[in-house]
Amino acid sequence: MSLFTELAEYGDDIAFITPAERVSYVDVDSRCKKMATTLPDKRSLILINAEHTVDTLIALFTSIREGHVAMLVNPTIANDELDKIIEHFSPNVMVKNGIAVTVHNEELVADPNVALMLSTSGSTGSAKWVMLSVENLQANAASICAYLPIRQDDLTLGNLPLHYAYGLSVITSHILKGATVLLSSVSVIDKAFWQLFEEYPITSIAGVPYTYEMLVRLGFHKKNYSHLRYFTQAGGKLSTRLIDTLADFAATQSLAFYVMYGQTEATARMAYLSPEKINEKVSSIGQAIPGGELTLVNELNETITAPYMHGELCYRGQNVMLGYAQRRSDLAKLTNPEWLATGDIAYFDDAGDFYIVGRKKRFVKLWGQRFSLDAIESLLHENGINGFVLGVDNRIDIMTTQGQLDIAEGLRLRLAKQLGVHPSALRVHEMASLPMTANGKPDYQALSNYLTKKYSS
Amino acid sequence: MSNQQKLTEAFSQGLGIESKQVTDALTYNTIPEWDSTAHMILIAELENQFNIMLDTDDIIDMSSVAKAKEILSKHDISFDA
Repeated sequence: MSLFTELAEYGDDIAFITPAERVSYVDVDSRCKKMATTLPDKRSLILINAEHTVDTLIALFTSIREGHVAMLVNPTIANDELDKIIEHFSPNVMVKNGIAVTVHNEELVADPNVALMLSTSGSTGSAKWVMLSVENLQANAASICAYLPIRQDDLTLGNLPLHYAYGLSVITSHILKGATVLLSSVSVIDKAFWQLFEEYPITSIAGVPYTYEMLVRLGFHKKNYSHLRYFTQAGGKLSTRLIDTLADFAATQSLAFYVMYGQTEATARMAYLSPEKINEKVSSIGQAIPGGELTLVNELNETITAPYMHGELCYRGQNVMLGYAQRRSDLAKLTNPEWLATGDIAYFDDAGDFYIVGRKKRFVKLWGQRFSLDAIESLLHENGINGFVLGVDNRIDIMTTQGQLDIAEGLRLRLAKQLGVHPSALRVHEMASLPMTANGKPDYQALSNYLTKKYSS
Repeated sequence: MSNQQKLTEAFSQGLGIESKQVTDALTYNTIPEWDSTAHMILIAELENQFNIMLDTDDIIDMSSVAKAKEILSKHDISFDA
């Protein structure tokens, strides 16, 4: 069935539950028809402030049904960042709290396939806008439904942000099956989160590594959930310790635990590990989703055919994006990559299961957000500090020369504020001198060795 | 270090704020620094400082500095001085 246009076929079944309302599929359809009358006739770019509400989804579905291009924007975005988006893309309509306000009527010149734009989960110069088609969304939702045991009578917890590819994929895969999504944005450290499991027969949950870190810390795995059948994790690498804990929890309560891999550039999902392999292959992302294909390419751009060889992970499938857009005019010119180069370095084992070992570019992920180390380095220099930046997931290391460490604590707090992260993620290290390579570039390998030694001692 | 000093230290480190900002009235989600991420780091700091293990309800209920004292007192940590 067609994702956005045929919703009414599920009739009076409930599509969304929120603390305030229960919305049936027929209701969704009629609310979309009503919303359509508030949008311009000409093809338009519609910026949707993605609050965690049914209204956000109605605005999204309506935009797509009416042939417009929707842009889902983080509702907590800083004003200056929003201003930049408006300057670059000049949206025709702004939707906030479900209300569409037309800003201008200049027809959008865009490729007919473009339906949605999502931002990659980045900041500090690394965020990009990804253009997706209805076919991308439909294909990825169908693939997800082909490997996850989503049933029409399911009630999933939709707690991930709607502007986030993984969060949105939870919605699309469930409405494709006519299931129900409980929309809730309460934090897991809020009492209300735990009450949801008592009030509703939740059958599945989805989380990023940080969600599971907090859930395990709060003892989620020590309780019983009579309706829960499975849970999924994506959005970064979960520590093996947590995978072990969650795999035990899954085994004890006869649940399926799906570790998955994806990127906004692939609409959401690219790979998943079969739940029965979770104990044996804790750090694997498994194999390509149904309809997709994964391969590895070495530095000479040759395909790697032998197991255990490192190369860049590339993906092909109907869910691969139309291209990136940095400004409004880019919507008319698609790059349509056949193979998506993920930027992740990986290998596969004898059974064809893939493992990520690192990233090609200098990025780290902190609490699910991507940060460019080079951008942080520039920020450091803007602060008048001579230094280099390294990092692994959950930590950024700032290496600076002697004599400057007296201001390290102040620097740490200031940078944390500028980056919008908790200061505990930043470590400042004092070095006698900063190692450089023969051609005068930062010697990151030497710095990395230094850090490995320091952290292991 | 007195228990009050330990508490102040834990909040200051956990939330990344200055010691003088740590008052009984300081409440979760009322300053940008005390969000859900910082809350979990704060919990780890408190557990370290006082050498205790906090359970789910303690963590969820710890919505202010005053409330933290109340919860810690259940673990025989007193703030009378």
